[in-house]
Amino acid sequence: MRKAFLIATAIALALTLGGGAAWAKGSGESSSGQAAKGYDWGDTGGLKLPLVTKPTTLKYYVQEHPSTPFKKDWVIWKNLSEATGVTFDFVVVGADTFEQKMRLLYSTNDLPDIVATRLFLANEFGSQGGIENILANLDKMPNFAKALKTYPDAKAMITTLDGKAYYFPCLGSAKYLLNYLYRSDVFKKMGITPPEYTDDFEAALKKLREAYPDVYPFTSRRGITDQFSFFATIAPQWKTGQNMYLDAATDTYKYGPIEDNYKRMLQYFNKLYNEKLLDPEWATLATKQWEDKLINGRCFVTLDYIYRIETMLPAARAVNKEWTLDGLMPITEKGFGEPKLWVRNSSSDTDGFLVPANSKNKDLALRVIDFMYSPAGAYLTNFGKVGDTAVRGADGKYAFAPQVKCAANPSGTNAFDAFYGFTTLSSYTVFTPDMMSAQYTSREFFDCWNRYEAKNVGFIKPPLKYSETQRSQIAEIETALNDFCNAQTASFVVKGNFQDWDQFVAKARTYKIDKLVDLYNQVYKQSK
Amino acid sequence: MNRIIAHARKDKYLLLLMIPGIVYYLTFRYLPMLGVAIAFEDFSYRKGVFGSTFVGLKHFLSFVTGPNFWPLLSNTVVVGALNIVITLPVSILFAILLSELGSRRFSGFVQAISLMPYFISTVVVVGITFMLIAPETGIVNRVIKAVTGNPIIFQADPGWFRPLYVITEMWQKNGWQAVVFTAAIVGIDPNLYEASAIDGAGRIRNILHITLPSIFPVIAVMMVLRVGSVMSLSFEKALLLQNPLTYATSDIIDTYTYRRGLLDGSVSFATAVELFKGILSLLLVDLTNTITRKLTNRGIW
Repeated sequence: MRKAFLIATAIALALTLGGGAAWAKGSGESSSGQAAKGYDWGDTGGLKLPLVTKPTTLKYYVQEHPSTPFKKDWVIWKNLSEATGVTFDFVVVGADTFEQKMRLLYSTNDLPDIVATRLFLANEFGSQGGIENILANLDKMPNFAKALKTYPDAKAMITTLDGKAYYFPCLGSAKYLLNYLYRSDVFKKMGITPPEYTDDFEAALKKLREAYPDVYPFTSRRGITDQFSFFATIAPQWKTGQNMYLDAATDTYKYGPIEDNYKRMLQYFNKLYNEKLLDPEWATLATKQWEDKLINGRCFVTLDYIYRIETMLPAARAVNKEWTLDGLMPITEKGFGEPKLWVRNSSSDTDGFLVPANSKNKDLALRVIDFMYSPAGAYLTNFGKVGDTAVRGADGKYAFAPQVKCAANPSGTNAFDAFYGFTTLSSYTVFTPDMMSAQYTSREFFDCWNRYEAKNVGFIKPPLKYSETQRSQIAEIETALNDFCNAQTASFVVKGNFQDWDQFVAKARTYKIDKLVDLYNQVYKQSK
Repeated sequence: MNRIIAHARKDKYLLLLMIPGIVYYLTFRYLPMLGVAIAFEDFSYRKGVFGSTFVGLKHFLSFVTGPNFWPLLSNTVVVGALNIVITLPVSILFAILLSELGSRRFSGFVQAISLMPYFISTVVVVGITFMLIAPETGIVNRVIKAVTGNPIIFQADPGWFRPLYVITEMWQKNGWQAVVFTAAIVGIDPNLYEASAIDGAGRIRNILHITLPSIFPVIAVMMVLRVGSVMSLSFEKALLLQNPLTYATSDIIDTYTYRRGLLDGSVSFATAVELFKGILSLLLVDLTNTITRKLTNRGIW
């Protein structure tokens, strides 16, 4: 009975959170808001630093990444406080509760002054009221206004149906996301050419399995549900998509998991599964176990972010000096599929900020964010102060000082992210090209990148703009439908019971797919 | 009436002692019940309980007529029923075996050990389970691999969710559930055993004709209570044990409400679903109570 009263839980949680926030205020202390005299901050785009004359504190909602645990005395925060004159009081949340806590803070009107958020959350809250409309404040934000002109995509993405915007997107996000990765050193040693087609892919995995009979050569940690999951990445190469997807040929939204092409894809992976080439844990593996497998040669091909080519090197080379990861072209069925990979717009819809309308310091919060968009703010949040952690070359390019450890500076003593906090989650709005060259140096990474560019494999999902009614109508159908289909399709891979396919499709249709497809196409049309 | 006042005056200090308890129940048990109002609204946090639009039974109807109503209901009831049908007899048997042990000290020791897992949190129990059944490193799969050559991927197979749930439940709560029966057995008049021993009854006969009938009322009451909670399974455990691959059997009403209400923010819908579940549970308790009262002349009301 007790569980019947969700509202009680919600209230209790809200109280706890409110208490927690108050506690954070008591103990929150960051660097002083005093501006250092004599340091030239660079091009602030017309903002006068410091932004405030008397000491002011802003609350700042931050997402924590498990590999760079949050520290309030990171240099990045010290710099930002010094430049703006603002002291920050952080509310730090892990990725698993990021969305939930934000919802609760929103519903109790307790959102901090600056909130790291995602586009869909900002728009969902915005449509209900209580979030500051950015576009009405552009006169106070010269740098952001300029950024919107430079990145018309960003403006199109954040503008809602009624012409407002609630979300500051991070700019300069790297384009490529998930793809096939493989151990190029092992492939080379065994004389296997990197496959491009499904037949070669299968043959390559078979050879690996023969040489290492205990090892399932292909695995994934991506799970089967979200937009970054196994089939979300693979389905475009089979001319379908996981869940609702935009079919480029007809320019309409369709539901992927019930399509024949989807079945064709499942049949292929079922074959790999039966031949023991696909890890039985492919749908449930956790990140830590996956890293262990990949590093220790318990798998040779996987599906993950292209950045792993670079970022796994330190840990892997400590175990095996030869260890090299490289990216494959999207694997397609010869004469049937298309080498397509979902890529990101340069403005991120998952990393960004919002400012609540009821914030007492909302103008200041807007200006702090605006400062982060200025060249001065961008370099400050990417590299820190010149002469301290940053060096500026004669050509105006930035790099890290020798003591800062990054891919370009492997002999540095302290890591740019975990120790200094640079470009950790929720700490910047612009990812500069100079930062890209500081963080990524591996030849494989850039070669792979260039191969994708040359073949033009990337496609972008257009931003969708929902009305509040559409959003709730879609939510009503979509969760249940996707839960059902994702589990069922994954079990086809494991069991191979394709004689039940028609039955599955019929069952899936009872979850109101037609209505969902209509809704999506309606939304898509009005978003154009 | 006068009599009541006189009683109240006489026991005023005792009545005073009751106040904290009453206040507790009112604030934390009864007041929150008013929150079920949001099950009948299109609730928006912004507008509050009084400002949101009233939509009547919309959410109930959309759940009951929705495609996952029957799967959710049957998943919940099947796991709950299995849990009772398997763990209740086991804990009774365990209590009887304990009472039959010759050495008091040894039976106390066994009982203490069996109680301990109850105090381990669910997260840890599930963590231990996952370690034991891990496909490559888990001890269970090492044995299976040595015998059959192929590991069983317990976590990815919907068929294994229910056994895992019930087995871990038994491991964790058996000792605790047996406490009531042990107490009931201790309370049986020893003269009965002596009398039957004189008549030549052995141990098995004693158990069947004295121990079991004597504790039957307790069993009946426990049964009623447990049936009432058929629908309220351990939410945390189901949530921790499940993953999208096993939703076919592991998605119970509580985990579904959690996803819809807290993750998707459809609070009204989730509240309606849980309220529906609450009402169903109440009906179930009443039904079992009626049945047991007919059978044993004892019920909880």
